[in-house]
Amino acid sequence: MELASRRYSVDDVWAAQEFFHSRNWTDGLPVVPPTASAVQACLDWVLMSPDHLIGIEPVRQRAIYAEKLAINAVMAGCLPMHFPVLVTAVTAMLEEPFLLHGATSSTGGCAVLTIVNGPIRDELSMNATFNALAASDRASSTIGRAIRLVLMNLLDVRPGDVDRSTLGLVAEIKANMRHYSIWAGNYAIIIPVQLRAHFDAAGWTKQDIRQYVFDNARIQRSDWATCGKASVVGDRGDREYGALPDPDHLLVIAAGGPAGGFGAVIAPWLGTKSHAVTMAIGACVDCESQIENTV
Amino acid sequence: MTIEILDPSHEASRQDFSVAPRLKTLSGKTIGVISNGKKGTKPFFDAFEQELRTAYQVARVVRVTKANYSAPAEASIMQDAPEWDALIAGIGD
Repeated sequence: MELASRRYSVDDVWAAQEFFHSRNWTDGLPVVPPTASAVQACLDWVLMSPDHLIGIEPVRQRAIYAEKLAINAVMAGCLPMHFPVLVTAVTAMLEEPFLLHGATSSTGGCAVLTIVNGPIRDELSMNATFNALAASDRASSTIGRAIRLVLMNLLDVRPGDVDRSTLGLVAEIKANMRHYSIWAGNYAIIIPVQLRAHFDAAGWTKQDIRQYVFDNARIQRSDWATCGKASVVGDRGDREYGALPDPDHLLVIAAGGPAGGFGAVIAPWLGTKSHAVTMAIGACVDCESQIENTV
Repeated sequence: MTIEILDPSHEASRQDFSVAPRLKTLSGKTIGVISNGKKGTKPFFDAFEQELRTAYQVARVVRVTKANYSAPAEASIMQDAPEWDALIAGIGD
């Protein structure tokens, strides 16, 4: 099936850069020119036709098709083998519980945290050890960037347009999420090797960690006065609030370098009004084993 | 060497929107005000409602609040909206 996107001729790869920058189609960095053959290679990898419907953004009712994802993937530097992760990530982000429009337009400013799990991590050489949360490998950097370009080019998430973030954050170029809400929600906790050794020695499972955090991560409303939220304390200062609505709202992630007892807690954007979404990558009808890769 | 590149943007034509007919006067009309639910909307819309009533003789101001300030207004709100002469969607932070 023919690619349907409008085509432009430019003199060379350098002219392509200026062409894209002049139309606000990039994040400010150079892009790989999305030629038809490169875009088709991405689509072939996932066995999708160009007009395959990835999903519909629920608030603005905007349909997102595979061809446009592939164009932005190529621009970001993705290889065809990276494309299934992008397809799955965007499909998940378009699920209504994720509240993509809110997350990308909020004055609070947040970025999308994408966690990839399963054997595909190794197949794509995605780094999960030293400097795990930073841009440190090809797949993580280009897939994260592709998500940003998709938001910009397909959903108008540009500063001052749909993006109304007061400050934003550096992580938006790749993948991360920052603290915004004081309400309960999907927190993620990242536990590196050195800390996991203690849990292993104590015989704790992921579920034990979830339960402990659920039981103990609690504050009183009056505590908000210590972080600039005094005006919302009101007369309910002695009311208790938990970080998690239930233990399963904690995403427990093993990642990080082998040395150093540093963990990370990544807070939700809008409490229980915006949910993490987990989805299988490239479900294979012929595979013997169950689906092992998720994003 | 000339290269051919593809458009990365959302090319589908926008849905057609038509602007509602402008009211000749606010006097005697019913105005709906949808708050996004943030704390700052309360005093702002209180003053706004007062202004509509005293300066423009609006007959009725219907104040409603969305359940989630980052999501569209619920269907129940939008069902009532056609009964209003004009609608203002307001945000506050």
